Amino acid sequence: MPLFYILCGTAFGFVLSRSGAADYDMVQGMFLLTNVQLYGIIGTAVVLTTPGLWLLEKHGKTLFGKKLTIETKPRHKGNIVGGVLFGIGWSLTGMCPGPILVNVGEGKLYALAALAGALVGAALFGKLYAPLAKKLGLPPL
Amino acid sequence: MHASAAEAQSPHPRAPRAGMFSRVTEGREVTTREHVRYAIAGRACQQRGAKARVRERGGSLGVSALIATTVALALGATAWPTRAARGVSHAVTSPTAHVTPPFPRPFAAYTLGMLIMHHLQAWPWALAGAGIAAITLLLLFVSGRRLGVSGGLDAVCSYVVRAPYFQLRGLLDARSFRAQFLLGLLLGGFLSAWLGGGFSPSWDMGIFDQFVGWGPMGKVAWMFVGGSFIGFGTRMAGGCTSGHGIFGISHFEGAGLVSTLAYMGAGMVTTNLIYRVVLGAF
Repeated sequence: MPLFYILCGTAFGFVLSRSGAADYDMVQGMFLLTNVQLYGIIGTAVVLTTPGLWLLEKHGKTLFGKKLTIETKPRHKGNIVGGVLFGIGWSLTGMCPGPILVNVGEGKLYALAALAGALVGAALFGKLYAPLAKKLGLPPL
Repeated sequence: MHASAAEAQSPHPRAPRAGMFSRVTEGREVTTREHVRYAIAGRACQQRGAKARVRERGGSLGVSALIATTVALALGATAWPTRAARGVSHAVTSPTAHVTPPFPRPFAAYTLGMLIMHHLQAWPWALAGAGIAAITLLLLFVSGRRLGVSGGLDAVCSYVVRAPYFQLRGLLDARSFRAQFLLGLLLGGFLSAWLGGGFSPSWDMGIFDQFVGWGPMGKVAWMFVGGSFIGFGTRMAGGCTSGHGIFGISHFEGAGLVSTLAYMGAGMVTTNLIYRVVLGAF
């Protein structure tokens, strides 16, 4: 199974790299509304994944016959506040979490700093979880 | 006379003199057996306290180590000379140098579908979207896992940082999968660069170089700040473009739709503030 996960990640990373999803300019073009590339990618992915998910959920089993259940992510105020913070970060760096790693792999040196920042940000959130959970209605620990 | 001498020796002036095989606790004489029990309990308490302290210190040590390593890596990377300094010249130094009249002056290469990396032509979006959908469905069908990257940040943190949040069962169960997936992403980027013109580390950053023009140190600071927004924000939102955007919306989740609207909106505002309002580049 580890090999399968690594291969999935590699394929995903390769697509992100070559499609422009991990490209600073393409991301700025998306936010400036001057480039349709990323809207096209996300849109196509959603349109094709939706029926697939529906079919797989109906099938209810994985390839190896295990029960397939998809958990729905919880809805809370953090979705909006966190989403806004992430949007600012995505705009500044031109990367979302996947492309940070892809850019590091591509050899873009500044992406190392983004990776450092992302890990520190996640660690900080983990440390501050208890007080934030109260304010934003996040799931209790 | 004798009592006052004992008082003078004792650290507690009012404590009565104790017998040979007993100690005095709170003004009451206790037997040796009791004393041993207290001592054991006390030491256990002490040990528990020390362990907790070590755990806490370990936590902040982990965070500091994480920060130190990554910052050191990033700073070390600033020592890497730029392409011009290394004397590497590509056939096309500026992909837009030859493009003049039909386009407005502030012109970016991405409008030609050109990637920063080796100036490769980007894949058509329909092909890339289909590829991502295929990977998402394959991952779900084979392993029952939902696509998601930002959870991997938690997974990496959980190996080094000690906090109750990083001990959650769901996180610990999935962290090896997430770490492997992240490793795959790194490999994917490397392969893409390697097959697309060779792996050559660079500082190239497209329109940032064109309109902001900061050097490596400036980029590192910029990226670190942006990265911390990403790490903090995605974890607070509970997902990123893959988990909330692609998987969440495909699964008709309210959380996915709301987050996607929030980050797209915030991204548009930020980029427009930077490039249209502050820099007046477009």
